Amino acid sequence: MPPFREPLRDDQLIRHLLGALPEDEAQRVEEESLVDDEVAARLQVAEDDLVDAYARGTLAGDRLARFESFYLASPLRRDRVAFAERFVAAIDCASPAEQEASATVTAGWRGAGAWFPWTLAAAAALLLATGLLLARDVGLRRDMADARERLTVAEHQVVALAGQLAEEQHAAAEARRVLEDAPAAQLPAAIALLLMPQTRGVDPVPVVTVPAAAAALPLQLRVPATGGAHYTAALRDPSTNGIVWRSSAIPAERGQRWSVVPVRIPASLLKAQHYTLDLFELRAGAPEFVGSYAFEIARP
Amino acid sequence: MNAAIQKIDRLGNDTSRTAFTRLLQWLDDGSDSRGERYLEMRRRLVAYFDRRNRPAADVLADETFDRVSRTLEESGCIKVTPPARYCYVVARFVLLEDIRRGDRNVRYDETRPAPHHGSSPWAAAAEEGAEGALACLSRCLETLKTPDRELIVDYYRDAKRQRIDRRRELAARLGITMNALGIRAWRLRASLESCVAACRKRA
Repeated sequence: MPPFREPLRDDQLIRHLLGALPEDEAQRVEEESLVDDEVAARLQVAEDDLVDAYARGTLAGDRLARFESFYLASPLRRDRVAFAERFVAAIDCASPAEQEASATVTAGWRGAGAWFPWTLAAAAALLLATGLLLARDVGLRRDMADARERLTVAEHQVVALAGQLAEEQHAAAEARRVLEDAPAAQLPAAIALLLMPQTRGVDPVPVVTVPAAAAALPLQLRVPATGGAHYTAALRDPSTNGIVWRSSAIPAERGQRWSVVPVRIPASLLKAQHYTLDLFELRAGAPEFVGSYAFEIARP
Repeated sequence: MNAAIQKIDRLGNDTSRTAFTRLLQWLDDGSDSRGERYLEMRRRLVAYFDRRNRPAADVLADETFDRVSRTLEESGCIKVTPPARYCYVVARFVLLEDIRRGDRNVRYDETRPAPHHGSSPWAAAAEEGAEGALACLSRCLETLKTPDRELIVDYYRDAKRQRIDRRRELAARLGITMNALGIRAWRLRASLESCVAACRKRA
């Protein structure tokens, strides 16, 4: 028999959604929210309320801070927030109009009740009966219209789903074609990998996936801002310890604390293996070793 | 079920149609949910990986199903019950492996925007399609039956204390528990959310 566990509380679910639960508790919530239908639904309800509160601007303090630092970190969750912003706006728009309409109706009846003369009771009863019949008739007509509308909507949904399926198949085929035709586009020149000089630590070596038809691998090597103005880089193959490529003189891009040396290595030279990039500062034309930058190349 | 059938295309390379049918049956655990159970479990898995900040949550959810499918094919059956528990166990392995890979891999495109409520860059970017999204939302709201539309408006309006009181009254009026009411409202909202997504895709 499994040990008895206290049911999860709503505040635990909320803290979990905000990434604020200790790991053991978080694992329990994750397990139960996958396995137990009721917990899954409660978590979903708690998430909707949390996101709505953010969309309405009623989150404050630590929860707001955690929401912005943790919850909004994911594009999927940001999509939920975007939906909630429109959703609560639509709901809040719908509510006051309804309240106003119902308040007007109530006040109208109250006013009429105060002046209702007893002598007109019989006529009123007759009117009431007619009114009920009319209302029933209207109700039946509305039900019929609703049924027709639902049928139309269902038909539209079937057509839309078929269209959606065709669109998705078309989009998938198109995506495959684009990928085959223009693999170089996967590696935009504007995006570069920032590398730090190797230290004696055991930091993991970054792995860079280079698409087969990419023209060059753009890298940015970080150096102290106190360094020189020009550098040169040499790509070394650790298996042979030989230099496989050398750059020309590169001007450093200066920052406050760090400068960055942009390097573009021809992708055709790169195989799936480890490399080191040795950086030299050019002082009066003579290269002076600055540091080594290690990385691993992966090929898709 | 339509969406579940569409998944077969994705599974085409890794999992055969028969294996996918077997996966659906195993997830249903004796009942016939017509693919609903699969979709629900996939939604939960995506949310699980997403809450762990994995960038490709949907890929990891599919990887989990692929592994379960392979086990079903190789062993013929899985004795762990309920099926969701086994999915969780597999998902944990998939998560840990992905974290290990992620520690070493460098992502080229780190596009996470700085969060800033109201006027954030992503909110501004989202505003481009906001009009279309609102039109979709009202179109989708119109497709709801009148009682459902009233329920969703009543359930989600107001904030804090008023909201709790209103929900309590609503649950009493419908003769159901607060939990059941929450689930009903959430299902309606989820259907609206996918209706809006489909509508925007078409637009």
